[in-house]
Amino acid sequence: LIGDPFATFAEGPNCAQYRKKLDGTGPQTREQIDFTKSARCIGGVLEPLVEEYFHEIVTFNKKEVAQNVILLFLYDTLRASQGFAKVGRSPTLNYDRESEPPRLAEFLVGVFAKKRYRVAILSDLGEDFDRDITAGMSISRARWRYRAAALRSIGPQAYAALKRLGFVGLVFEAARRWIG
Amino acid sequence: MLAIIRRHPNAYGVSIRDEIKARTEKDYSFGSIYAALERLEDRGLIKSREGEATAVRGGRKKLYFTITGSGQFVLRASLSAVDAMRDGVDLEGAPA
Repeated sequence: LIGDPFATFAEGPNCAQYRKKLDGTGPQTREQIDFTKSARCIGGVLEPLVEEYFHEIVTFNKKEVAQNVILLFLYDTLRASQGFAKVGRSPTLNYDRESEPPRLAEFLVGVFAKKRYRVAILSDLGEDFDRDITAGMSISRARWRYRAAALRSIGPQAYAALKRLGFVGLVFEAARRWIG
Repeated sequence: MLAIIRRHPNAYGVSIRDEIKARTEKDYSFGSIYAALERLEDRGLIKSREGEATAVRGGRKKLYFTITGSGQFVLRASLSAVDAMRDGVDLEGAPA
C-alpha cells in the first residue's frame, strides 16, 4: 500500500466492479463506498480486501450492525498501517453505537489497568466481544458478557493498582483520568 | 509460564486464557491473567512485545509474551521442586 489506502483502493479493480453494481451512480471515494453501502460491500469488496492485506479469513455476521463494526475496524486498521491517526469512525458511517462494547465498562477497566497493559486488556476483551458477535450472539448479550468480563477484570487490576499506588494515589489517579 | 511456552510464539492474553481454561477448566479473567503477567515481567521472567494489528482483532495490536532465559531457569527449578516434593507421596492414603 502506498499513500492513503482508500485512495489506492479507489483505483483498484474491486472498486470499479462495485461502482458498476451501483449503476455508475455510486459514490466516488472509498470511504463513501464502504460506509454508505456497507451491506452491499461485504461480499464483493471487503472480503478480497481482507484476504489481500491481512491474509486472514473473516466470518461476517449477517447483521448489518456487526458488519459496520468490522468495517470500522478494518478502516482504522488500514489507516493505521499507513501511519494515519485513528479516526474512530467515518462521518458517513451509519454507525450503531449499541454495536460497540459498553463504554462505561471500558472506562472502568481503563482506569484500573496498568498503562503498560491497558490497551492489551481492552483489546482482549474486544476480541472476545467480536468473537461473540461473529459467532451469532445478539449484540445485547455480547455487551452483557463484555460487562461481566470487564467487572471480573477490574478486581485483580484494582488490587494491583492499590498495591502500586496506595489508596490516596489510586483516588488521585482516577480523578485525574476522569477530569482528563 | 507454562501456558506461554505452550502457546509460543502466539502467547497473548486471549490465547493464554484459552490455554489455561482448556487444561484446567478454570476461567480466569483478563485482569487476573495480566496481574500475574505483570509480576512475572517485573521479575524479568517473561518479556512482552507488540504484535501486528489484525483485522480479526479490529485493528488492535496483540501484546505477545515470551519466556526469558531466567524464566526458563526459574520454571525448571520450580517444577523440579514440585516433582521432588511429590515423589513417593500417596495422595490416596493421605489423611483428609
